[in-house]
Amino acid sequence: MLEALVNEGIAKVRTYLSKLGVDRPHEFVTRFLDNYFAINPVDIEPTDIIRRMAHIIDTAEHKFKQDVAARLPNMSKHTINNIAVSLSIVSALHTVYKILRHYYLLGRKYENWLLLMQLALVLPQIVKELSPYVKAIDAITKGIPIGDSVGPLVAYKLIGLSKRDEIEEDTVVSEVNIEGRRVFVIKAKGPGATVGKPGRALAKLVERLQCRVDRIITVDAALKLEGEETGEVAEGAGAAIGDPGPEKIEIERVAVRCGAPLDAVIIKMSSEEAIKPLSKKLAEACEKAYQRVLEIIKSRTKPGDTVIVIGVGNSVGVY
Amino acid sequence: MDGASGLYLVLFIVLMVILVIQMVINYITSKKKAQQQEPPVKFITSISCINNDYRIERDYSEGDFVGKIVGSCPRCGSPLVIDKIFSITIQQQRK
Repeated sequence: MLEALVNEGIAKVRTYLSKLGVDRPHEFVTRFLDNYFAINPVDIEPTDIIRRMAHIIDTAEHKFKQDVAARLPNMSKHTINNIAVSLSIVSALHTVYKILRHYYLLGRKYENWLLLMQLALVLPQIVKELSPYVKAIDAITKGIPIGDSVGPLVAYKLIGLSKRDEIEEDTVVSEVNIEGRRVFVIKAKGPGATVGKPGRALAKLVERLQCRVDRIITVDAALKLEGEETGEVAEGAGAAIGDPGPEKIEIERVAVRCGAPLDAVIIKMSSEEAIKPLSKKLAEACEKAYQRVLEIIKSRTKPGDTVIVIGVGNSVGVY
Repeated sequence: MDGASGLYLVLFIVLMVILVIQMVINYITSKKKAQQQEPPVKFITSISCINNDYRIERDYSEGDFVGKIVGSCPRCGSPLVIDKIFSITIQQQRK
């Protein structure tokens, strides 16, 4: 069952690559399944762990994207990003499959029926949780926004078609005026599938503004608890971003350094909805979140203030 | 004493049998649920005039993305821009 799911994912990426005219797509996918892993930095010595972690993440990302780009020299950056994300989804599915196969074979080797029984009981749930990942490949290869794109969608609503400046790799900033406030909006560069580097983009922008920032607002998708409504918009304090650490800590550090209040606006959804194509309910929730951000800007800042809004998430299908 | 321990043993066996049956039922139902197909979806592209005086919805076509200019407004001549792309289930559409 799980093997079929992984093979379905691989087949989808292969079809996408064939459509793009890639030579020997099967070989191409197989090469990327096992070769790109990142090892966590040493955590018993926490000094500069964030810098080390950021360095490892960057190295892994660059290596992956460079190798994709080297094998597909004539593709646009957006297409390369879409291919890279599709390959990483298939790679993640393949890793889960390999771990489960490992325990299954271990159970058989040592005739450990308890281990095999646990696997048999948990397998249907794992298959159900992994199925959306295969659907996400469809969305990413077609360039359709996914649930995690709500942050960039709210950012788009604020900036419309305004000029975008690439301030950091795969991350853009636009400036708009909202009732006399200077509002800078940071988002991942679309419409390709990427999450950009919002934390580092914020740090660069703040440096340019010499720390004259009156408020920072982050908007992101957040995992709902079972029983909570999909598309519910909530507001709190802190950095709404779900990265492993380097980007989030950068946002927090900037807010502290500049003494800027840090707001978080979240749109609730399940983990499945976060990677599936955006539903109508979530598309409508983006409008509510946009109104909430406007409300924060209008009620908690005054004309002449400088506000930074960060639309966190994957910009697939969003300019 | 022997009679009491025999009774406990029987009770224990009965409980174990019930537990195993329940586990098997749970396994089968969860397996069925995992295999259940989700309702088919279709993708909709919503287009609006930047002056908000005109809006249409059509089926998604490859190459669409939010922020793409797809023509000019039949009312005011301003650019028509894709402002939403979302999925709906086929049942939702019939309603």
